[in-house]
Amino acid sequence: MFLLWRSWVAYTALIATVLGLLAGLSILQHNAILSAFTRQRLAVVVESVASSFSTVTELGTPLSMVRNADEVLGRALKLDPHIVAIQVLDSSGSVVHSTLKDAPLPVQADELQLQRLSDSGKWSLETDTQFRSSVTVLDGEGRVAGVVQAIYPKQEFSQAVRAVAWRVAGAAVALLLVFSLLAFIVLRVRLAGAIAGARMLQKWLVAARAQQPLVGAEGRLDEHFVELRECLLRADGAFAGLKQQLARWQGPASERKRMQLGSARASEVVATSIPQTSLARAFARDLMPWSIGLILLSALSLGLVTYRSVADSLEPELVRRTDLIAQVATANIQRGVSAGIPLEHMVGMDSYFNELLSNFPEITFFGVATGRFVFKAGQWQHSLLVGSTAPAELPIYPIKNGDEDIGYIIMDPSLDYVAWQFREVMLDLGVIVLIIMLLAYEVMIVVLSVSLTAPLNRLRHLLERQAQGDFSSGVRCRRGSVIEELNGYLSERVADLHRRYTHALAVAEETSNALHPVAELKALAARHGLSTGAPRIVTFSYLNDIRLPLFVFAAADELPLSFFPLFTRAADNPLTWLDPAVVISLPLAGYLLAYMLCSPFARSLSLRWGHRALLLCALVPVFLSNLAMFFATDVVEILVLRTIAGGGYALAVLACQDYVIDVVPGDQRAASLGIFSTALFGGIFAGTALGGVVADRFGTSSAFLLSALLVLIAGLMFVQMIPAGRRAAVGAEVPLTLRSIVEPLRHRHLFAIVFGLAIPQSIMDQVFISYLFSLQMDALSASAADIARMLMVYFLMIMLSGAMLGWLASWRVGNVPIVLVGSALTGGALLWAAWLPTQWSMLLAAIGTGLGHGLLRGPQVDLAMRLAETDLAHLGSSSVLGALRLFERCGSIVGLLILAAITGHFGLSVAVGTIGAMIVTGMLLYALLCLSPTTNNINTTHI
Amino acid sequence: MNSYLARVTVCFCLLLFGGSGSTNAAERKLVYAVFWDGCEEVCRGLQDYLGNSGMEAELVVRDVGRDKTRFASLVQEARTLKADVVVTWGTTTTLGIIGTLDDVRDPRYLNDLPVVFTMVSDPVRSRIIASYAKTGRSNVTGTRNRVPEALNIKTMRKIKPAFKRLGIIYNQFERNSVDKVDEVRELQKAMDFELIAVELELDDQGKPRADSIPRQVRQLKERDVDFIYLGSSVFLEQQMDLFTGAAVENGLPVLSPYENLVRDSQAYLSVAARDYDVGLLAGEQVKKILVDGRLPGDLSVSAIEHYAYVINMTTAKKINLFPSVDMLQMVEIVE
Repeated sequence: MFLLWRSWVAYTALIATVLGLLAGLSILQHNAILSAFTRQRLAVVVESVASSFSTVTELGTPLSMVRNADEVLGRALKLDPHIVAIQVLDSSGSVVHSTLKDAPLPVQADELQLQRLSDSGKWSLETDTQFRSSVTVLDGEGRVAGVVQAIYPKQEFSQAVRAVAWRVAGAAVALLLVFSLLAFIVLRVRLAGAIAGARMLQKWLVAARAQQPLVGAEGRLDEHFVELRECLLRADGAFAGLKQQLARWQGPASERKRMQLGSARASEVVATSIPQTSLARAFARDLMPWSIGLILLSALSLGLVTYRSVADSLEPELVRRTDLIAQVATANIQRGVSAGIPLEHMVGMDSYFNELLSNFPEITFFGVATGRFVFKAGQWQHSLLVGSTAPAELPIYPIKNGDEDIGYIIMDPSLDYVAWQFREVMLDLGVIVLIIMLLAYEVMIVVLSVSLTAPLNRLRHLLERQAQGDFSSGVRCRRGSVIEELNGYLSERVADLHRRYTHALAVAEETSNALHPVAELKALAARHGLSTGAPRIVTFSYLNDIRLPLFVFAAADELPLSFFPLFTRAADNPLTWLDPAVVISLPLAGYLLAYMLCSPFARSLSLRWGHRALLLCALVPVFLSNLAMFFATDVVEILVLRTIAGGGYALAVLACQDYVIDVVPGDQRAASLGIFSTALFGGIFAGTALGGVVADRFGTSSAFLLSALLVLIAGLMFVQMIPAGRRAAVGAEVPLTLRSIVEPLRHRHLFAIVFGLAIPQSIMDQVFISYLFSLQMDALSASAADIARMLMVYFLMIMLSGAMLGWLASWRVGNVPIVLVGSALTGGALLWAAWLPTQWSMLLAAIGTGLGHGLLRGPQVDLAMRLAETDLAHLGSSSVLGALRLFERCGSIVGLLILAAITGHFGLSVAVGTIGAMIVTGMLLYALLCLSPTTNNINTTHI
Repeated sequence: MNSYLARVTVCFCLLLFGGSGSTNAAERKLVYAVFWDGCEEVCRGLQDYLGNSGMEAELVVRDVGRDKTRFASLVQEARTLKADVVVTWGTTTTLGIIGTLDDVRDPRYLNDLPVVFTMVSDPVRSRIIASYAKTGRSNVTGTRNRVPEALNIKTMRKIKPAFKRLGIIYNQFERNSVDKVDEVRELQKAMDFELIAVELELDDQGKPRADSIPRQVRQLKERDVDFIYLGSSVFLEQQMDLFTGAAVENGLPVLSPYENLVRDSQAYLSVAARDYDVGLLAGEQVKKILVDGRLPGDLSVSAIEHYAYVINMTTAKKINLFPSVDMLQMVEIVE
């Protein structure tokens, strides 16, 4: 039952983590949205005041000289009595009018910076105690005449936040209880075979330790455990037989001789991963769908509860904003009526209401009626005006003359806008659920691997060797389950045999007994892998060792991605002689340059130092760079720090890729590189999406601190999970030189891989996705949120196609067809998007390029490695992979410059089409060279 | 009313910090103020400022009574009384007391006493000073209370988007009135409108005839003007009811640089500072000279800080010309 309890605790912890993170992030997301909505409501008042002031500033009156400014501000203040203050600032930022006559609130430094960075002339700020919303007022020449700002307290917001937090946290706790119980039931049922097997193993262990035979029935055992038990018995027999044989050399031996023979220390060897045993595979396969189902269901349940809570919290805010807009319009019309202007003679209603409609898309229609419409603007969405529906349902705002209602303002809130707002909320929460699911999946893989499949694999490996009489090595095991205990016992038994052999050899050499010759003993030891001293300890490495830390590390690195350009733009800029747009791109350029320069050395360094050491060395600069970024204030500091981070990131990611290449058997390499891509891009996806939320709620500097913390956590996980020892089979590598990097390109096939596949793909990733995509979508009138989500689709597709490589491997599909299909998908999608540039074709491009890129990444590295192991073995894998990585990056930088020029001269669509054409041409080049007879050995390779 | 120095005068002393009641004559300053037509809002603003500022000052008010021949004796009296500061009202009065930049050595004008001018529509064009920042006369500073004429034109266009023709009636015997016509005429091309300027008719003595005003307004109407601008004329300001009434009869809006024409008469709109505020501002300039010891020539001409758009809604209804909804949010409305 220990297995059951242990698994249940692990699953409960996993579900708790998922629900906790989901609840926490959802609450943060809710706070961000509610904050934005509150500031948008405040903006209604601000825009109304700014619109009034712009009437006179456009004529040339300075804001400070408007005599009745206080009266205008006072009227606006009456719209919402909660407003702390409404202030007017002149162009130098000094408060020239304020509703707080005696003590106007000072302007904060952040506000001046936001004003500087704002392109729209509207910005808002959230402080610890206030919301501040501001709008620029322009003069007749379009220059900034000043700013109108309103300040709002946060008490109401804090109450709403607390209410949602309690509701979501309560739901999370309830769901945790429910799903923990469900997990227990599922595990009890699905692990019944394993529990019986573990019980059998436990009994066997107890009996073995007591040196008694295994007695009693184990009940119905799973066939895999029956097989394991037979293996166990065979190993037991082999051990007993060998022990018995060694007993022939019993006798006294001098301590000195024993010490002399047994002085050799245990060596630790890292073995490449062993193929998963059918037992481990069966349990993993059986548990995985249930695990995913449970976690998905728990996350979705909380997601639904959260969505409802968030919607309930946001809905009144939307209604209040709409109501406020109508109140503003009514008050402004009322002012004319109160002055004695008949509604029918009101001048300028057309431009006034049309401006309102354009500023506030949540309203589709404004009407002014006196029994009949005297004015209409916009589109009425309902049939209420022509039908007989009760007028009470209409949002109507009376206009009075004295005490008498003489007319109404009628408005129609946009149903589409409300639906759109809630769709945005749902998509934002959906992204959070997706991030949590990706993380949960990676954690679950690790939990399954650490607690079940890896110990079972090690056990099976040891037993099979011992059953065959091979007692040469033990395994490094952890504390915990009965399987680990058994591994420990079997390893201890190996050590015992080695001690016995050492003793026997000492006896044999000292007595020189003809009946028990030394040669016979040594032959026996050779047959069974015995040696003097301690046995070899084998540590197994698995692909799963790096998945979770890689995910966390990639998330940490990409955390600042969404706000980095703004962060750079807001920093002090000593490089005033450079164009600001160029200055903003400098940190990215430095990052890419460092990546390019470091990438050729990753392979040789990981071979020389070991993966773990290289990873830790690479993580140090990334950690320090993020930590220092917290304090960075100017562009030069940011540039230097980001460049350092780029070098560290390149070495760390490529060390992980090399780890996969080295620990995975050759026939699983392409599929495993696909899984590597899935984990990497999962982290990139999660980090990018998470960074926006964190920066919004805690500030950009705090996001860098979180990033540093995640790098630290990833480093600890790398230390914990990656074996420290050297690989069992490390051949002598050719030293890396510039010549050795260029030399592999003389090989036609590698040339085709680099120039036909890798460089065009890298250009697609670095230029199309990182540069052109946003510009093209912006040109197609997509919102920033839509652009971000479409980019997320790209990352999701890479993850999906990375995972698909495993299925393709099981269908025995070769590398070459995969890379050709990948290129065709990528190139075709880009050509289509260039031919018909619409938002939908861009979505298809994101899907096509994501799928294609995911299909290509793993196999192209595998193809290069196969060449490094065959035709180019004399150059070594460092040179071959170094060439691939260096030219891939160089190509993308050159491509970026060329395509930037093309974009400038011929437009975005031509640039997109050019990349598509490059990819298709590269694919044809590769196909041509692949069909060449001299390289057809690669064509027949299957993953 | 007609006798020289007939109208006096306000005289008051103020003690700082609740003194014993006895005043120290040696420390009391004399402010000598000359007004074109009696003590009006500017005068009251100046009085209130001096009264509330804590200065020990005596204000002597003199009324020119629209008689230019009195300037010489007023100059002489200011010298005799050893006025510490002289305040002048309006372009004509100011020119009569201190002359132009060409008269700085002419003993007929006050070049030896500190002077603060007020209500001068365009002191630079009138050559009273060299510029607003630096007057070019060591004893002269002043106040500035007019908005740029371009702003007035834009305002008229805001009220009447189809605005093309502007009418002005001016008094050729008021320097400021003629200067203002010239100033507005220079804007015609840049601001795309046509100026129709009509001179006031004169009587046998060469003085402007009030009864000609309705005829000239009708003349402007016949020439299809969209707006009438008062420009700068004390005469028209004095005849405000006749002038604005004629405009209303002809359905024409009047934009006045003087707010009282909108509040107290039937002008349609003013973009102006309150005259009272101009008086307060003149008081500030006086204080800088008397208390802070500043040389008038070192002080820039101080601009009024607050202007307002004031619309007479009764007139608006009569001529059926209402401001737009957005304009309504910023204008002060009077009935």
